[in-house]
Amino acid sequence: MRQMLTLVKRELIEHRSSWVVTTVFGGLFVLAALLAVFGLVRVGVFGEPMNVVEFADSPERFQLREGLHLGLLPIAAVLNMVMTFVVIFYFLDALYTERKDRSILFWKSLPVSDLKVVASKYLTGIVAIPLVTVVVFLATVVLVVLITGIGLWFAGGVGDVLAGGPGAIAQATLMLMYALAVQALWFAPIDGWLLLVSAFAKRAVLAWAVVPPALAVAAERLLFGTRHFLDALVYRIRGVWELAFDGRRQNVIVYHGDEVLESLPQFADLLTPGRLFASPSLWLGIVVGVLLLACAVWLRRWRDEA
Amino acid sequence: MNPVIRAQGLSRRYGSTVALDAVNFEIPAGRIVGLIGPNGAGKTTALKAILGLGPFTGQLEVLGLDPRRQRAELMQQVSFIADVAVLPRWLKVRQALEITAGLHPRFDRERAEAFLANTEIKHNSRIGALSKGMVTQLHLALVMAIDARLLVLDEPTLGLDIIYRKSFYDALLNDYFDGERTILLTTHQVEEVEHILTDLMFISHGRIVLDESMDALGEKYLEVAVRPDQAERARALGPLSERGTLGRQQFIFEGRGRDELAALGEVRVPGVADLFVAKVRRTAP
Repeated sequence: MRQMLTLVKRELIEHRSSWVVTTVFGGLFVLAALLAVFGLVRVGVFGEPMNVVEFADSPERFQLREGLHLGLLPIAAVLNMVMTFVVIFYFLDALYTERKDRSILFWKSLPVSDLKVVASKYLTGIVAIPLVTVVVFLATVVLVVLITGIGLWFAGGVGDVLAGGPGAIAQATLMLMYALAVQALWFAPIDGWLLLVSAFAKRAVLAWAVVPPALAVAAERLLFGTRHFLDALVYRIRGVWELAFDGRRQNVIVYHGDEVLESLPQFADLLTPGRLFASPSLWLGIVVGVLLLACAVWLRRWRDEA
Repeated sequence: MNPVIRAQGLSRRYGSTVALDAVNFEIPAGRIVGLIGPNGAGKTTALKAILGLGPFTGQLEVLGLDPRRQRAELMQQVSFIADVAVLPRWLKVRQALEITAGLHPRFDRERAEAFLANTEIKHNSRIGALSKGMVTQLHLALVMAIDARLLVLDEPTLGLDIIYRKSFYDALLNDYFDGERTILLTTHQVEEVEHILTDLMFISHGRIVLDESMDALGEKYLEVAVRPDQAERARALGPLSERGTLGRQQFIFEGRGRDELAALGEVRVPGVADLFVAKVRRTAP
């Protein structure tokens, strides 16, 4: 356990972008909130863009509590997207840079098995970096809610944001954590492939990651005139959202006149983990992922660095 | 007592090139063994096999373990410095100590700190910002703080100033070697390690051409400085090598008695470098 934590710590020191990039994006949201409060930018959530003072006086502020739930989710989505790219490049680098700078010979002088090292790199990508992202998200939304909430309070005595903040933050955080967990499982074959390429390629890791699948798609088309592999790839990239979330409930606020009849908090209905776990695609993907990771372990063990 | 390393029929080929050709040797505990050979002779291949870094055929036991199957276990007891440049440059010195402590159960951080206190290395420096000599000192500090039974060094002082080279071997001998540990090292700079070695192995074209303790070396190999008029008599005794210096012909003999040679001229134990040239040139195909 101590070894595993040390190994993950090594990864976070070696690949600083794994947490720096998401932190920078979180900072940008906080900055945007500050600018909005001081009237320097205009934010349009519903309808016309307006600054905070105008918003405090507008009739739309009554929908604020409900709107807050929606306002935090885009922040989560952006941070999640940024993190996804960060993790892709992290995996491509993880077993490559240590070979390139030959520091692998130092790591191999320590009594840690290659299985453990590769596992630590995989866990860094699917657990440690997502956890960092959750922490960055929490810090970001707490600041954003405080800044806009205090701004609205001073502008027009509107306390809705401050009052509704904790609940909205908790809900958005849970949503983000669910999405991250679901992605970690669903993308296992992609992650395994990236780590395998990272262990294999002598140079140009990105090209090695992209070109062979592209060639396979082209070859299938030329030889058989079919596109099963392409469909499988597209499904692997996009299919998780259809399985893990209920896409039919997109009208999150239902009005009757000025009355809010229904709002987002039927939040649990949005998440469909049962459907995801019942899907053979998920388990097939995990099996493929484990096989690819096993190949990466084997390569790190036996590849001669001379 | 079992030998620390036992190799039997140890072989490795890269394509059609034979890097190690069914090599046999044993290294007992408590020795400092120099593995000397020209580039491409198979030194690094042999070390890699011992450290479980590369595949091989034949039998090899290191501390009773199989380096192929029990590598992680083996590394508990074996330390190595593969090359001075391999410490990760992005680590700070302090982080290097923390991470080594977190990964190696036999690492004594206080010992490493004590060794570093005698150097100019600062805890907050990034390794990439240290001079090559300092990186070597740091690596040595890490390795010396590990309670290992076998230390393997592959060209540890390559590219270092003479001052660092000397202090490297002094530290190794005074602060690390205790008569129970075993050190196996390769180097080009034979003269520098000659005085610290207890055993010598020459390797050439994938074969061990000499495997002697330094004590036995003086009995088996002798060098005679012969005046030119005696040279024919010396050649008749079948020397390993002959070279001319300062009006004398230097002959190196294997397995000739000291008395027999004394008649030809002044007899002494050959330097390792000269013996190496004599042996390797002779066995070159």
